Amino acid sequence: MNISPTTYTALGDVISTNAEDVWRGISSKLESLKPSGVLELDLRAALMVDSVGLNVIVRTIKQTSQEGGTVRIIVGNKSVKKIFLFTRLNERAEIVGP
Amino acid sequence: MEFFRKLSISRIRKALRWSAFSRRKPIVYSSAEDELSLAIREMESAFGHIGSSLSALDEKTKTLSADCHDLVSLAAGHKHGADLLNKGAAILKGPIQYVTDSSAEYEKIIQLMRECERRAKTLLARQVEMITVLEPLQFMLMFFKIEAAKLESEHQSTFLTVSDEILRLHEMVSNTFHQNIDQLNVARESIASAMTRIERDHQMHSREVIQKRSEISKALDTLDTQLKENELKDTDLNVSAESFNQHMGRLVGALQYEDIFRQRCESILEDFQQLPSDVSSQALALLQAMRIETAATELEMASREVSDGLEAILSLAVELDEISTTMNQFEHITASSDGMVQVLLEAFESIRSTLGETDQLSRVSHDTIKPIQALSEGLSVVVLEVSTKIQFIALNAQVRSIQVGEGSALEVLAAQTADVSSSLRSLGDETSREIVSLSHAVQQLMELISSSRSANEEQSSILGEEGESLSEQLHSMRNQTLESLQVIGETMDSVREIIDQGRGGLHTLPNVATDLKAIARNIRQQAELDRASPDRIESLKEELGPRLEACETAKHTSLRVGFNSPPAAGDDMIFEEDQLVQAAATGDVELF
Repeated sequence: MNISPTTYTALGDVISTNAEDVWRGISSKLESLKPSGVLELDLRAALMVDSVGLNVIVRTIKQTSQEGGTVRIIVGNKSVKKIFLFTRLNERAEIVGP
Repeated sequence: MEFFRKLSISRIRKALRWSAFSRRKPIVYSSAEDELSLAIREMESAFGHIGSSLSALDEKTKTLSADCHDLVSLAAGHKHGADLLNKGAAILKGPIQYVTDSSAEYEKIIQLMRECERRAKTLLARQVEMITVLEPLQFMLMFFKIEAAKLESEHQSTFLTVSDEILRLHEMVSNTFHQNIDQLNVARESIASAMTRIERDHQMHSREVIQKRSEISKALDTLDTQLKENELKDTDLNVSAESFNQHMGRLVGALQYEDIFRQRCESILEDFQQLPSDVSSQALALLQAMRIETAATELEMASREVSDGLEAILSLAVELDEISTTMNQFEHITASSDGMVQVLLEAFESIRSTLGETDQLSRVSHDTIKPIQALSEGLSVVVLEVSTKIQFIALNAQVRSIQVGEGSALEVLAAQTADVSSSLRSLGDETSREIVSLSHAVQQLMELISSSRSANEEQSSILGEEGESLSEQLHSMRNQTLESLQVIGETMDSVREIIDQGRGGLHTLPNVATDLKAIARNIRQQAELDRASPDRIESLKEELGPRLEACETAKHTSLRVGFNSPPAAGDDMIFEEDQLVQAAATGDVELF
């Protein structure tokens, strides 16, 4: 039986100025994540992810993994995907996008 | 009718033939002029379009090597990476050492707390004993009152005073000792519960600290090794960027075909405008046909070379984009999720959180012990007071009983009071010793906690200030890396777009070349060169002499841009535009 993912949707870029808010949003979703569940980060509205934003995403992946879950990141932008490939996040999470 | 029609056609042909090779400009030349002008326009249009896009792109690609070099340096950790790693390790050294030491300190804190708890328990027992010892005074008080009632009023008041003192002492003991026992009990329970929590947290914390320390230390060692290994690696990305730049330079060089071609066409057109008088019409037709054929070949070659160049650059752009994105050759020091930046950032976060947890443990220990300290101080004063008072009461009772006379019941009561005083004194001394020991343990504990908290504060401050600054530098370095990656990606996107547009512009050129060849064929036909014997052709060529040389030798030379072969080191095939144009015009250099 497929468990429907817990989804966090970013409203825009994931950068230093809103990283804390994004983390708070993700944390609240992590609390309701079931063991071996899928946390979906919907970043389609993000045109940019900077180093601080990347840190939040890496932290999310680590925490989810510690709790036995997996992360799926949905991107809507080529350059954001490029950043995730460059940083090799695709080896630690499923990246879905253009 | 048929005869006249044929006659008419024959006349027209003769007329054309005559006009073609008389000193007047033949009609076929006008057609060639139009076609050459069209060819120039087409070439200009195709190359001009690519040229203007390429010059913009060329500007971008001039910084491409630098961008790629930056990306490699940043991603591999060459650029500032080692410095930041060392700085990070230096900043973390103190806090990590503190966290490790604090683990041993907590062993001491727990030991001292256990001692405090034990001493508090003993003190409680002493307090209970003191109360038990003082208990008979309540009954003795009644006897004192009964016996005092039998005395004369002079002695009666004296013994009533003793009774009052016993009553006050009893009240004091009741109030303070019971209260103290309750508080001590609460404090002891708090210590026991805090100790359980601290021991549990400390054990968990110790395990985490050992693991974190080992992880950080291993990560730093690994990074150091990776940095050194990365330094030794040549970079695919830099090689690829260099190749891209060379190809781009060659493509720009290939656009010089346009000038060469235009010069050649203009030279042909000039001859059409002013027909040379020193050669025969047929020789001139041969010359022009050959020159137009050469121009057509040049056009085909130019189109092919530029097209190949565009394809090569497109393929390099895809490759470069891929290499820059994956950089598989390197251990990602900077940008990857397990690279140096991430490891250091996480190490800072982890140590910061450990320091916070340690401080929390210290605060709990401090808050638990603080009431014991206050209690033990208060208790010490009370015990001393009780002990002193009971001695005074006993002494007073004894003195008064002697005054009343031997054998009285009061003498017995005084002796009993003296016994209670003696027992209480002994107990008070023991309790005082316990209080001193407890105070000493509490003092040691408070000092240890205080020193641990100030060390924690110091390390937190270091981590707060220097760590914050280094975190910013790490983020900034990673952002620079991501920006370089974006710049390269955007440049490659522009390359793809420009190449797509450029390829579209080149499509017309082969058709123009075919038309030019048809014109040359037409000239040959009109001048009956296609029917001329090889000897005749040779004779015409001799007549043309040096005029023909540039035309014939040109076929053997090309720009040799060589897009399909990898560029060799020092392989300088890019011609200066001026040289090429001059060469095309004068025939000094073999062009084709």
